Amino acid sequence: MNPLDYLVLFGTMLAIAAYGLWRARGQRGLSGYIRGSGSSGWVTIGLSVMATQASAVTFLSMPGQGYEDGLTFVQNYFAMPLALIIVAAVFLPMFRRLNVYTAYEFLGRRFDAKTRLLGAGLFLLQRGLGAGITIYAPAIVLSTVFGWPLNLTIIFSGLLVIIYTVIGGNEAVSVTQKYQIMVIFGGMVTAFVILLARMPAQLTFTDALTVAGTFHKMNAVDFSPDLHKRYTFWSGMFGGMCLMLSYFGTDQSQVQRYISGASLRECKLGLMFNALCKIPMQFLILLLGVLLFVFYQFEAPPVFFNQSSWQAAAARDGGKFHALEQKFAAVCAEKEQSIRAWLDARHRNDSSAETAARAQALAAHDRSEAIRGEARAALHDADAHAQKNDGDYVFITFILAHLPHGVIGLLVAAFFAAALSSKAGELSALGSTTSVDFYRHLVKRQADDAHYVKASKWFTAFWGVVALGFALFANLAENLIQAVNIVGSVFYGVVLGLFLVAFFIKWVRGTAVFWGALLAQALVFCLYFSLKNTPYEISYLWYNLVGCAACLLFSLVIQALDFKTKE
Amino acid sequence: MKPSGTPAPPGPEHRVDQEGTGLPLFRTWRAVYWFVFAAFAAWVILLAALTRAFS
Repeated sequence: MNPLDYLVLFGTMLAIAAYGLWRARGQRGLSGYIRGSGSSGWVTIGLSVMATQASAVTFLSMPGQGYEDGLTFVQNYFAMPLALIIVAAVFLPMFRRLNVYTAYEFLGRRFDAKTRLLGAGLFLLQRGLGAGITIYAPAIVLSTVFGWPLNLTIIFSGLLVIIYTVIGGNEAVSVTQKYQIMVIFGGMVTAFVILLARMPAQLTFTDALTVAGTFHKMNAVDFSPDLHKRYTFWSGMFGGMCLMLSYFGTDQSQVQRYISGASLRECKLGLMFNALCKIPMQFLILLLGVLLFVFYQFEAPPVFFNQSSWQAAAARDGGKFHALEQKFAAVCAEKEQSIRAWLDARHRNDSSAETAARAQALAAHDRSEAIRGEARAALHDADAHAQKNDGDYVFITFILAHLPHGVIGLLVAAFFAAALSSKAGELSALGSTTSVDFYRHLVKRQADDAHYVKASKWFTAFWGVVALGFALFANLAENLIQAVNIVGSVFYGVVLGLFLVAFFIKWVRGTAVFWGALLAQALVFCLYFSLKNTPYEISYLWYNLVGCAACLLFSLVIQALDFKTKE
Repeated sequence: MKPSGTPAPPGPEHRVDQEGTGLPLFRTWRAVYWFVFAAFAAWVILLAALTRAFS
C-alpha cells in the first residue's frame, strides 16, 4: 500500500464515522438512542440490514471459498427470501404493534419474565462471541498481508466502531452502514471489472465457466440427500430456513435495524429488498472467487496464498520450500499449456484433441493440488501454529498484485467498512438488550430516560471492550466464515423455537416453553459435541432445525403434561 | 394457525402502519411476497441450470 491507498483507506473510514456522528447529533431519549429518529426509509433500512449481515468475512473470505470449493456455498442463502417473507408478514407487524425496543420484550409480554431473560441471555451469549470473531477475522488477514501489528489493527478498528456506536446510537449505526455498504459495493464491482479485464484476451466468458466447471467449481446446486455434506439444497432450505428465520426474526442486531423505519411499509420494503438481492449478491461474490480460480490457471499462483507465513517458514528451511515452489511452478506451467490446448481444440471443434488436452489438464491439476498439500504439510512441520487454510488470502493476494494504487486502498477500506458495519449493528444490539431486557427490567425499574440512555451507552461500550478482548486473546477456529455460522447454529434453532411457540401455539405457557428451550439447548450441545469429528457428524446447518424442532416438541410435551397434572 | 400475542391499542403509529405497498405494479403485500418467491424460484432454476451446463 502506498500513501494514496492509506489516504483512501483512512479518509473513507473516518469521514463515514464522522458523518454518522454528525447526523446523530441532538437525539434525545431512550427511543431515539435505541431506535433512531424513526424516519428511516426503505433504502436505509435495506442497506442497513444488508450491512449488518455482511461482515468483512463475506467480502474477504468468500471469494477464497469460491476459489477452493466453487459456488456450493450459495445454497446456504437459499432459504433467506422465504424467511424474510415470513418475518415481514408475521414477526415485523407484531413487533411494531407492541412498540417494543427489543425482540425479547415480546417474549416477556407473550410468556413471562424468565422466558424473556432466557431469549435475551441466549442472544447475548452467542452474539457476544460472534462480535469478537467479526473484529478478529479481517484483522488477522490484513495484518498478516500488510505486516501491520495484529493487536494494533484490532484496537484501531475496534475503538473506531465503539466510539461512534456508543456516542451516536442506532441513528449513527444506520447512517454509517448505508455509506459503508456503498463503499463495499464500489470496491467489489471495481475488483470484478478489473479481474474480467485481466483475463487472457482469447478467453471468452463461456470458456472461463467451462474451465471452472471442469475443475468442479460450478456446483451451485446439489440435490443430494447426504446429511454429511455441508452445503446441499436441502440443508440450505431446511437448516438454512431455521438459521435465517432465527437471525432475521429474533436476533436483536437485525430486529433493531428494521423496526426503526418510518412506517411498516418502509420496514417491509427494506426486508424485501434484501430478499431479492441476497442470493444474486452472494452468487456474484462466489463467482468472483471462481473467476479468480480461472485467472490463476493462466497466471502462476503462489503455492500457498498466505505468503507471510510461507516466507517466514521458508526463511528457516529455504531448500525444501524453494524446491516445492519450483515443482509447483513447473506443474502449473504444464497445466496452463494443457488448458490452452484444450480451449484451442474446443474452438476448432476437434473433440478428440479436446478430450485428450482436458484429461491432461485435470491430471496436472491433481498433481498441483498434491503439491499444495505437501506445501501445507511442510508449513505445519516448520510451524505447528501456522494456518493450513490459505483460502482467506486468495482475494487479497490478487488485489495487491493486480489492482492499481488507490483501488487497493478502496478495497481495504471496503473490508474495514464491512467489519465496522456488522460490528456496529452487533454492539448496538448487545447494548440495548442488556439495558432494556436486563438493567431496566431487573435492576432499576423507575428512572428517567436520560439515565437509561447513559446506561445503554455504558453497556454498549462494555460489549465493545468484551469483543475487543475476545479478538485480542481468543484462539479462533481456522475457517472464519464457518466459525461465525457454527457459533450461530448452536444457539439459533432454540431461540427460533421460542418465538415460533410465541407466535403460533397459543395454549403453551411461559414455564413450559422455558424448560422446553433449556432441554432443547442441552440436546443441541450434546449432539454437537458428541458427533463432532465422528463418521456421524452432520452439517452444522441441521442443528438449527434440530434446536427449533426440539424446542417446539419439548414445550408441547411439557405443557401437555402440566395440563394433565392439573386435571 | 394464527399468530397470537397481546396487541396494544392502536396508536398514531399503528394508523401509519396500515399503509399499502405504494408500489405501482404490486398493490398488495401478498403480490409483493409472490413476486419475491418467484424471483427466488427463478434463481434456483437458473443456478441448477448453470450447474448442469458446466459441471
